[in-house]
Amino acid sequence: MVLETFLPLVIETLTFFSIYLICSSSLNLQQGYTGISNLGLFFSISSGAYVIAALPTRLAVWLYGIDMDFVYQNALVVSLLNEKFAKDAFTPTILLVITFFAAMAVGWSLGYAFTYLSLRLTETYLAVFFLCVAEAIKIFGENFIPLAGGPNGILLPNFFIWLGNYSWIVQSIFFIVIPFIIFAVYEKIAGSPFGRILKAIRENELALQCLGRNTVSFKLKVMAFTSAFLAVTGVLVSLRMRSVVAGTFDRVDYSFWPWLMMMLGGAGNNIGCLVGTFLCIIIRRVVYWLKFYLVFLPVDIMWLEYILLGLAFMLVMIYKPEGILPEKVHKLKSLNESDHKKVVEQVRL
Amino acid sequence: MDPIIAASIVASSVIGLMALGFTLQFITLKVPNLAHTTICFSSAYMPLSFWLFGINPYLALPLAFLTGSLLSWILYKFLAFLRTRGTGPVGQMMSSLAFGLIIYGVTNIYADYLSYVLKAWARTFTLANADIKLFGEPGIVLLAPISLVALTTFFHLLLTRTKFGIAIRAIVQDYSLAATLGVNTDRTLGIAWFIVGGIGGLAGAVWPFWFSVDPWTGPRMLSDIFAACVVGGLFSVYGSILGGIIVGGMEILLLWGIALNVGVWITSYRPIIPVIIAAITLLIFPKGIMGSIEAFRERRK
Repeated sequence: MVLETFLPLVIETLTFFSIYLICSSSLNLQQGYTGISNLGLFFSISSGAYVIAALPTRLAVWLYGIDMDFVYQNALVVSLLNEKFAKDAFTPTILLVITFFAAMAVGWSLGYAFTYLSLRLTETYLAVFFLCVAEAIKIFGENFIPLAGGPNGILLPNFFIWLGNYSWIVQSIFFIVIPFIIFAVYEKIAGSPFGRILKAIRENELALQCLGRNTVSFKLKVMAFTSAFLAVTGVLVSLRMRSVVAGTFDRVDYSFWPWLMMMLGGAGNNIGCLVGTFLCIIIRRVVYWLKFYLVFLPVDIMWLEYILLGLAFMLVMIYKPEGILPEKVHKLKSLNESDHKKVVEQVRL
Repeated sequence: MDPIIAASIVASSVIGLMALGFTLQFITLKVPNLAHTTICFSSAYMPLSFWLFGINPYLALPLAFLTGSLLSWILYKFLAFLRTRGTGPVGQMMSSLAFGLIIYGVTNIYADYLSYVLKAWARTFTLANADIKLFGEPGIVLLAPISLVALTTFFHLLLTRTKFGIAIRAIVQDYSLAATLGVNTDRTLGIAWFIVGGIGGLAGAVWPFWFSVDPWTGPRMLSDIFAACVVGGLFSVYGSILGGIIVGGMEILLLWGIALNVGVWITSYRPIIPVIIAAITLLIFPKGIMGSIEAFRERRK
């Protein structure tokens, strides 16, 4: 009984946490490691959501020969597709794979294009530019009905329905494993020579340019790469909700919360980011539950979340600006005598 | 007067006034104040409250000025405090955003309160019906551009003819040197933020006399103000006013022109226009109008 009550709650919280982990760790690679301030994280996330809204279901309609409009007869088409997917494991799986690659390609292209456009801006104005671009993309998605159903959004079929009773648990594992793979990739990058160059760009870009490094190319790579992974987040969020509503990909949920997660945990440290994300998810869950206990108030309690988010951020900036787990400063070990001799010999050669 | 022309006049004037504050705040602390538009438009609820209590909404303008000023000053004090503790520009920028979120939350709660308790239509409102008539035209069509000219002149005189203005310009040029020479940087910047915050509050309070306002209007208008600053020149106060006039005017007139040819459906894409303008400006002349003029002057020398 206890397991039946709490297991869905734990899995739900863990899924929520995993999805946000991609957002905060992507931001960490952009801002924490490279120093690119991006307030418009949600442009990449929404681009992924638009891909899953527009591509796989249309392909499925075409493959199964359903003569209906996916957007305007959405509910009917989704129920038909669910029936087809229940008997066919191959098509939904291959469609999902195509969707992930397409979302990554779109995220990569948008990240590259917008970064290229804004290279002339200083770090703070760059952040504002990304925010404005992301808002523009959101408005486009909210109004362009063929893309994601416009303001009402669009329903998606269940791509895991062929698993029958195991559908829910496999989906949950899928939502948890993919973010952790992405997190592992980020952690690997952070410890690699590429990661050290990113930190050097953040610390002194001019010095690195003087040493012959093309810092612009590195920035473009980081933004394109992280945007591709953020687009995957958009796909995962949409799969989890089984719908795409452009308006839900907003600056508060998919930009400011990841910023707070990163700052709270510690910018420039992936493990710190993980801790920050976990704490923020707990705060959000508490606020969510509070809604049910404070229904007697004459105002919508959801606005408290904004106030809490703002206050939490300000308190972090006052008391713990470096975060709970600040960035580790790696010191080179002093050379022992034999290493020293080797170095001297190499220099002589 | 044609309503489209009138709308573009009001939009240009208000965006120009807000862009003035945004740029001045940026060049003094080197941090974009992301709460600026939220603060400005939170003042829009002052005239609404006056109107709901049967008082002429124009009488709320001094209170709107004061609200904008005080919120702006509190934010300045917080950012200055962070700066003394060594917080960088990005940390300060994010703190301004956090402050904006709090204002946004409070504005929403106030709007909810007006809606639920006073049964007023406060989530989205306009005060066009409460406007006065001046020379047969809605008062705001004349008052908005007059306010822009008057406040820009006041600000110009303040910057060029007073010791306070010299102190601000010194701080903008070199903060540390100005402090070394005896300028009370904290007080001077506090007053500057107070004044431009008030001007922004005033601008936000006159917006509902022509356009509709909801609690999200402030955060949404950040794109317009950013585009105005990019077009005018990121570091020029006068450039940002000019940019505001261009962006505000173009947003209405351009949209109207396109809508006449392709259909009314295009109007829902209106908020994208300033972003497109900013992107084109960044590609063609990234220094903006004033920056390009400066560069041209330098070349002639």
